[in-house]
Formats: sequence, structure tokens, C-alpha cells
Amino acid sequence: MVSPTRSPLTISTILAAPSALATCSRSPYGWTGSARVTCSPVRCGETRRRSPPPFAARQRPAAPCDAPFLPASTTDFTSEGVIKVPDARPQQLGFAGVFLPTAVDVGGRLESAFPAPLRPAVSLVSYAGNLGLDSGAPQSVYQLNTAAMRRLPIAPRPLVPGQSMKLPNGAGSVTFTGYRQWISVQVTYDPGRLPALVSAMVAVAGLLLSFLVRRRRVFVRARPAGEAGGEALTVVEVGGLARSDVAGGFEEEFAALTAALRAAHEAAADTGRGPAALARESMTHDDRK
Amino acid sequence: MIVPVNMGMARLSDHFLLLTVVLYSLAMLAYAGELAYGRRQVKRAASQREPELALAGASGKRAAPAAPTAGGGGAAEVASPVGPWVRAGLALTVAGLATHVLGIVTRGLAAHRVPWGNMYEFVTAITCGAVIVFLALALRYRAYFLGLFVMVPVVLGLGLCATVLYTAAGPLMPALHSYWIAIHVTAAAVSSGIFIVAATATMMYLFADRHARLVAAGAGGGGIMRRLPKPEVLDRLAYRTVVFGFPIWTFAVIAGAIWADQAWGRYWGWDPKETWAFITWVAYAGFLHARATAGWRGRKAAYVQLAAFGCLMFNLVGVNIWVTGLHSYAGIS
Repeated sequence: MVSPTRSPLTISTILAAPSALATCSRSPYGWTGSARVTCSPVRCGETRRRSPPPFAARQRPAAPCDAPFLPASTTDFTSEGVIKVPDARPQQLGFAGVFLPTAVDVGGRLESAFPAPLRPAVSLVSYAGNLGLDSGAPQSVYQLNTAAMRRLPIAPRPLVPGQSMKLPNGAGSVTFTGYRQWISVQVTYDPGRLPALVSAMVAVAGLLLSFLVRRRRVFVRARPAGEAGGEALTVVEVGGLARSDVAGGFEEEFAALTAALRAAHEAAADTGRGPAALARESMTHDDRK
Repeated sequence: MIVPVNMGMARLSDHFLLLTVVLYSLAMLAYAGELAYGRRQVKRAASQREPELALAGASGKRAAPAAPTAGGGGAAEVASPVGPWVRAGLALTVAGLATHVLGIVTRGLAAHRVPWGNMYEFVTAITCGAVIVFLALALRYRAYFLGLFVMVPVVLGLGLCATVLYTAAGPLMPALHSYWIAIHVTAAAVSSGIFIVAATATMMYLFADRHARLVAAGAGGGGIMRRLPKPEVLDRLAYRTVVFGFPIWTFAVIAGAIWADQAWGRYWGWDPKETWAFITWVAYAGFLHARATAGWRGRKAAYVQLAAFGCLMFNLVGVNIWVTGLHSYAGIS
């Protein structure tokens, strides 16, 4: 006797709901370095407007300009950014920088060992020439177009906050005045959070129940099977189905049940209270191997 | 401010873990010795074995597979003889587990935090989980035959820890500062350890099943295969182990989602780690369903479980090393 088997598990999909927020491919936080660039014959500062607003430069000459640095690595927060000084004379200046929150020397190369600013340092490569800001082509604040610039002959060395670097040929100096932490904030409202949590908890409870509860089904069917020697015959069929193989021991239990049925029948037949019957057992156990 | 790492403790932890590898390797040799030279199991005719199996299946395991009724039924099921090789192996395993746990604890004391903040520490934790599960099965079901086959991946994992994955004790990535690391990562490590043992039992099942078929076909088949338990026993052991691990894995994923909601503002964002955790979950659910479905038991279900285990391993190794996501804490560059 084969009965359709059903899944012994109740597993609902609980974790598939996409969130309202897209995955951030960029880190939502990082560092902004500020540098004061002094150049001869005039002292000048960063004057370009930038977005997003927190990094808007101050117009005052020689005031520190804030340059947003983007984390290149989310594990150690090595960050990259550029400083453009279009008002510098005689030539415009540009710096490509790497900010290391925790600068360590790894075999002559500077690396960041930790994302928190334990030993902050910035390493700048200096360029002079035409930044190309007036060419009409839009530029990224994070990139330096060095096509019309030449690299100044000064070895990049890490500057710690407060430290200055003199540019060659009296081009001026650049001071690393400090750094600030920034974050970008996304606001989300997801009314589905609580229902999702409750559903997940209910799903786990259901899962545990389905594993812990021993489900099995037994049915007994008695049907008339004609007559023999003037007595009505009855066939008694016993069937059983264990719903999951977590529940061991069903065969034994089933055998005990049929034995009890047979004993009860024989006792009844002995006392003459019931019709002579033919008991037949069939067993179905969903444990096919 | 960051408390400096206790270097003495960190060195102690490294030494403990090296000692663990040595002890586990010796245990592995002892289990291998049992298979090679151990006392032969009493041979029984097939007709005598069948009732035993039926009895074993009927030993009344009504509780969770994690807490089966101990004693007679469970023991009769997968009994293997306790010879000197097995005793030596178990003693070495217990000693190795002690140094393993000490290594993890001293690592935590050295870095002043929960010691599973990077892949080195995580692999150390899941191998520890696998050994604990193996010892529990060995004590409850006398499943000593698992010893060799569990120790192989454990020793390999710890060996990789000591060489490729090694990361010096250090402060936690700031992004991981939350008490959820203790909840989420512990659950993930425990369930991964359980799944390692389950996959091991399933591999053994496939070999034992092949051997049984060869014997049935009269093709002989010998060697150490004769010392393995019957395929049904291995199959049931693997299934029970997965049943034990699956709710813990489910909890780990949910705890991760709660942490993600707290840390990243969304509980599910299809980050590679999240996606693969979900794939793994679906695959193991598929295995549990397959077991309950006619025609998908035995070998087919075993393949499903191994596929699920492959997903788990890819999530642990592949996603950590080759895929960039929000879970890139492996500390490997």
C-alpha cells in the first residue's frame, strides 16, 4: 500500500525579501583630509565649489581646503583623493594623495594597517601646469587630469598632521592641517522589518516542531468479505505511515498495534461474541530503502 | 581607545594551536591504525544482520536527534569495537580539543574580544566545533569510525590556518563592534562544524554504499571498507547531524539579518555572503526534503547534501577571498 508521501518539513522562505535599500558598493564613511596650500607670489586656497556640500571649500585665500578622500579599501580605509589649486601662480597646482589612517612601513611601502586613525599620514604626489578646468570638459573632484601637467621633482613622503612639504622652485608649500571623519547617511523606512522578524521566528519554531514532533498515522479498515460456512467474514486491514524518518521505531510500534488487534480479535472469537473474521495486516511504512 | 594586544597571550595561543595540530594528526594516525590493524568486527551473515537493523531503527528515538535515547539502541546501531587504537585516538582527540579550546580562549584574551573576527579565527572555531560534534557522536553512538574522516578536514583546516590564513592577533575591525558578533558568528561556526561532520558521514555513506552494492553483486570488495558500518547507519547518522545543524544555521542567518539591520540599515541586501548563506540554506532544506521524498533517498539525497556542503564551503572560502562584499573581514590580502 503506497500512500503519497508528504514533506515532513515545513520550511517557508523567510529571507528572500529584497530590501528597499540598494547595497552600498562604496563605503558609506571615510576620511576627509584638509590641506593648506601656500604658494608664491600669492597665497591661495582651494576655490572650486564641490558637491556634496560638506566639502564645499572656503573662499578665503590660504584657508585650509577640505578635500574629500574616498576609501579605496573598506578593510583598512586607505583613501584616495586629489587637491586642485587653480589659483596658484605662476602655474596651477594639483596633488594626488593617498591617506593612510594607520600608516605602517611594509618593506619600504606605506600601507594602512587599521581603519581607525592611529597613525594618520597623507602621501602627496605634486603636479604643476594646467588643471584643464577651463577646457569646458567636466571633471571629477576625485581625479586629476595630468595631461597638461608635469610632476614636480619631489619625492612623495608621508605627511603627518601639522607637517609641511616645500615645493621645489619656490612654488610654495603644502601643509597637512588635519582630517575629519565623514559619513554619508541613507535613511530608510521599511515597515516590513517587524513582520519579517516575526515570520522568521515563527518559521524557526515550525522547523523545530517538525523535527521534534514524531508524526505517524495508523488506520484500521474492516470490510465484509463474503461468507464461509454460514458465517460472515470480515477482512481487517491495518495500515500505517510514518511521516518523517526522524521518528524511529515505527515498525516496532506498528507490529505491537497489529498484535494487540489480533489478540483482541481472538479473545472476542473465543468468547463467541464476534463473527469469525479473517485478519490481515498490511503495513505501509514510508521507509523505503 | 584600543587596548594593545597582549603579545604573551597571542604567542601562547599560537603555540596551543600548533600543539593542537600535532595532537589531532596523531589522533588521525591512531584512527587510521584502527582501520588498518584494529580488531576485526565479528562477521555476521546477512540474514542475521537484518533484524539488528530493524531493531536499531526501532530503538525508539523520539526526541531530537541531538538527544536520542542513549544506551542500548543507539549503541547497538553503530557499535564498533573499542580497541587500543580507538582509545588512543579518543585520548589524543580529547587532549587536542583541550589545547584547541585553550588556543581560542588565549587568542580572545590576547586581543580582548570574541576570538572570531577574521577568517583565521573563524576556521579555528569551526574546526573546534567539528571536533566537539565528532566527540559527542563518538560518545553517544560509539561512532568512532568517523574519527579518521573527521580529523582529515580538521587537520587540513588548522594547517591552512597556521600557514595561509594566519593573521596576527589584533583589534577587531571597527565595523564588527557589536555584541551580535558573539551571537551570529558563534551560531555560524557551530553549524558549520556540524555540517562538516555530516558531510564526512555522507562521504563515508557513499563509499560504504558502493561497497555494499559490490558485495551484493558478488564482486567482493574488501580492504578497510569491511570495517565501515553499514550504509544505512551512516545515512541515518548524516541525516540526524544535518537535522541538528539546520536550525542552528537558520538561526545564524536570521541573527545575521538582525545585525545587518542594525549595522547597515537593512536586514537583507543580497551581499555576496548573505546570498550564499541563503543558497546554502536552500540547499540543505533541499536535502531534508529529498530525504522525505520517495525516490530521492540514499545516494541522490547524499549528493544533494554534498552540494549544500559545497555551497557552505564556497561561502566560507570563496566569498571571503575572491568576492568583495560587506563581509570582507577575512584579513587576507
